[in-house]
Amino acid sequence: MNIDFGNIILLAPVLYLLVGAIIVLLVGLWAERRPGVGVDHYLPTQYLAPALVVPAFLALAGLACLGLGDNKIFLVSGMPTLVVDRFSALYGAVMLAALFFVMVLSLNYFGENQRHKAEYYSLMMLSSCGAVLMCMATELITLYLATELLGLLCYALTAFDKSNRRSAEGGLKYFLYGSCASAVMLYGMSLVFGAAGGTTFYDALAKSYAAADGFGGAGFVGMFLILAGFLFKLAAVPMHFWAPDAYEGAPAPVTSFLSVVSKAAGLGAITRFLMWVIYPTNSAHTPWYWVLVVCCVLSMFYGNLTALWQTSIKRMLAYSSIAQVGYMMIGILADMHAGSGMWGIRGLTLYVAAYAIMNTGAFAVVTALAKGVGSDKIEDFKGMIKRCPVCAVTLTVFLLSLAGIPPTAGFFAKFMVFGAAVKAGAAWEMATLAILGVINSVISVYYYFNVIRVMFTGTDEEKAIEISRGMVVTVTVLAAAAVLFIVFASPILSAAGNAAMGFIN
Amino acid sequence: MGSTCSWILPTITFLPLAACLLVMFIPKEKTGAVKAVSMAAAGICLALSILVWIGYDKGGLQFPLGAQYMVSCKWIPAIGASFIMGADGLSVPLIFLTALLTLLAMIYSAHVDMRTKEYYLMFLLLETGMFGVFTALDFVLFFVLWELSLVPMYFLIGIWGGPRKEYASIKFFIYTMVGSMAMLLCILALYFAGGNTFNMMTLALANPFGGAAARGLGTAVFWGMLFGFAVKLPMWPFHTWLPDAHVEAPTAGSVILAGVLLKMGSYGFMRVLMPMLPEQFARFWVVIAVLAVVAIVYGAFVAMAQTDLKKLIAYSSVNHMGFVTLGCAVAAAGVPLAEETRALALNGAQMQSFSHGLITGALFLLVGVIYDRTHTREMANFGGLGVKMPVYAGMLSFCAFASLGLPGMTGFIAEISVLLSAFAANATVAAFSLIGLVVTAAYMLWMLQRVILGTVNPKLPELKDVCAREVLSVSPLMALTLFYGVLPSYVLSVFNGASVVIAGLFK
Repeated sequence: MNIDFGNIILLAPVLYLLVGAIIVLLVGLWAERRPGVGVDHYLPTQYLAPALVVPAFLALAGLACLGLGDNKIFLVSGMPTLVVDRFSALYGAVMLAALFFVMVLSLNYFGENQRHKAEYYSLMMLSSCGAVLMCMATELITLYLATELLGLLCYALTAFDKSNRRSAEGGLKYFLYGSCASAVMLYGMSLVFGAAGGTTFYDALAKSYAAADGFGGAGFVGMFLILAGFLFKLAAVPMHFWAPDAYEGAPAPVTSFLSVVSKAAGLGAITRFLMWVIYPTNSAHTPWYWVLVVCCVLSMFYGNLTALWQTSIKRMLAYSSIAQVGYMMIGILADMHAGSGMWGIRGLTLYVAAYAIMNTGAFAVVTALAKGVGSDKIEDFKGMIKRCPVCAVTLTVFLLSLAGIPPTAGFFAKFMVFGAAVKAGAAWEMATLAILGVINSVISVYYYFNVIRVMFTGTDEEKAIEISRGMVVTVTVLAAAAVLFIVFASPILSAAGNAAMGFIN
Repeated sequence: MGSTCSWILPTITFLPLAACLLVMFIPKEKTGAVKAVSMAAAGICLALSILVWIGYDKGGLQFPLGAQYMVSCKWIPAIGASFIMGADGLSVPLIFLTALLTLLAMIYSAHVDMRTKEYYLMFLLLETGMFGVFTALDFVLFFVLWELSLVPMYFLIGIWGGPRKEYASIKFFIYTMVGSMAMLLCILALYFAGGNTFNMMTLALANPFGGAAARGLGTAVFWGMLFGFAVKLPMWPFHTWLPDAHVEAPTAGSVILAGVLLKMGSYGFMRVLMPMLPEQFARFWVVIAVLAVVAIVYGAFVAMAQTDLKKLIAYSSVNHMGFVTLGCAVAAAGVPLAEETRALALNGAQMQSFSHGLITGALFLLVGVIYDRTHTREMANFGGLGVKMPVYAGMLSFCAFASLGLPGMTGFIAEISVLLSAFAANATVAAFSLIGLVVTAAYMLWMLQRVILGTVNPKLPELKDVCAREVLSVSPLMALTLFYGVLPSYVLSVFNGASVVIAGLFK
């Protein structure tokens, strides 16, 4: 194997995160072996880990804004395996920012004296490495390895709360479904490899695809299987069955990690895969395009209609995140049409950033409240505006944002992806998707506002809920970000635009 | 302060938001300070809106050729959205109306003691949204502020509303959300067809769905946009949210709802639909005119059938706003019509929407006055109030007469202008709308008979006549109704600039 070390500097943020994860693990181990020495006092892992994430985030954010000129490809054995471009850097930056907030939430959720905290934080950092690598992967085997790195650690994180049966159940379900999905994906990759004679997206797959106008036969089946693997990561219908159970059972910070980081990684990877492999050749007329259109519609309707009936707020958010993925897929689908000007990918990227803010925030508040109330039933949140004003107001902001009401982040996200659909509206199915998208937005208003209604009504004088100061700061920062998105939309949009333009060249 | 002064519109729009942030930091026990800050902000906005009216140049630029008090700067260049605000003959009176009604609603609400701080926060937020709709000349800004006005109204109805507030508030929100989502898609379609800009003036001048592009997508965009504004207006048959929302909303909320939020719909007709999709509007004018006549007649008959005083006023809004729609339809009529007639129709439509804001605002306040005392709105429970509350009876009669279109008041000027031009366009349409006018007179007079005339209802408790706070909040509206009714040229000359430009688009 011949690694081109000349380019390894490009992977510095990921390698740094990897080393950071190991340091966290070692510090934790050391502190456990020698409780008297004070390691945990001077280097508490729950603070060390988020601090270590920040430089990696800054590096990727800087890369996303400034770029490196041309796309930089990292080669193994002369084969392009990873690409560090604005797109992967931007997705990486968003995911690491979300990781940072998830860690802060964990600190609040588990408290200072969490058992195995070093393992917990280092697992999160390692799986984030996988997430970033997924967005960088330009070759099937690398993609598979990155997906597995992310996936395996997520199974472990889901089941992390060993004393809780639901957590173990969720983890097991996630693991069983997930290993099936990845086996299917791997099988699909081998079929595509057979058809294309190579594993790299651009040099082998796209060229052989263009030459034969499709892979034909086995490769055709293989593409379906690969897409199934991606849809599993996105928790899109029909590969969504694991999501509600895993989301409900997992410790709350892990749920927000799954719903934000893991989903963003899947979106980044599927976008690159589709854009590099089939976009150059008439992508809007392929069978997989139609498969994705159907999955997109089903995700929106299934997610929203099921969320309407939920009584547990965690399950409601789980189903709503299935619906949200449907909206995001509109962006990808719109850009499979030639001449789309990458509105859709731009919108998708903006959506992922907005979603990271609002979903992390919503889960943060729900976690804190569920702990205080001792239940996650929506009706038990009655009169929250009096019992915990900060929680009620910030959760209202996050729910408004999830519903896509201006001037919040969620509005701009939906604005962009629906805009992409309208732009590609000459194709009847895109015009239909735009209309179905807004119909679904209206349906979703009902259940998001139901929570708001419950929080703002209910005259019963119930006991006040105390939440920690750190939590107040976290949710306030996230809520401010969701509201002030309107002011910062310009730089984020131009970064997203630059990232998306990479696909046209 | 000339019509080129660029800071004034952003100041009016965002001053309430700044006050809202300030109020957030006032402890909630200090309700006096909360009210003082809120009313001061609303008062400054009113003063500034009067300055805008005074400085308005009648011969100056009108949308879509330009606008007065223009401010324009970059916002999100990546998608061609800018921060553009401006005012013209169409918006200057509405900005004034918004400022006036908000301040009066706040004064009237001085006695609200339930969650006072949040109540005023919502009003301030609402005020920013409403001003924004009338000042924004960029579609993204317009849409953001349009939606911004929904959320506080949802809370005003949902928290401070009547017994069925939860149902009414979510129905209001979902109904208007459906409308604005349709509008959003149409805005995006206009954006892509009009050369990737959200600038409303550029889009109106470019007329992307004119000529060869008028059919197909152009038609779809027209109906989508029409639906968005029709829900807000509300046009029959999209009015069903209105009686629920009006009846359950707190008094001040109803005032704003009827006085300003409905005007956002009619403003949308004249600011967006007519200048940007003129060919479609002219092609479908009959449909709109028929719907308007149905609203006029249906609204009047349904109002007549009401036993609840507030519901009666709510349905009278459907009736009155029908004249606004009719005026717009006639102005765009696809029949040969003199340009002066079209301008007259638009003047009538604008006058009706301005006058409805004054009169119905006052009527809702008066309903609130009696409800606060008796905790009922059933007209059967009243009777002979003229004896017990003479001043109140006088005010109610004045407003009822204004509402039925008595000459010498603003409603008369508006309705006569619309009817005159409607006769020129299509006599049948005008004749049918006359039925509505007659029925309006009937139900208003019958209402007066049941509430203030007749023998005193023995079940009525001791009633105090109107207090200073109530007089202060209602009398400015009555004074303006009379003033602009006697001297309509003061306000018509402002409207006329905008009307002539819009009328010129239709041949």
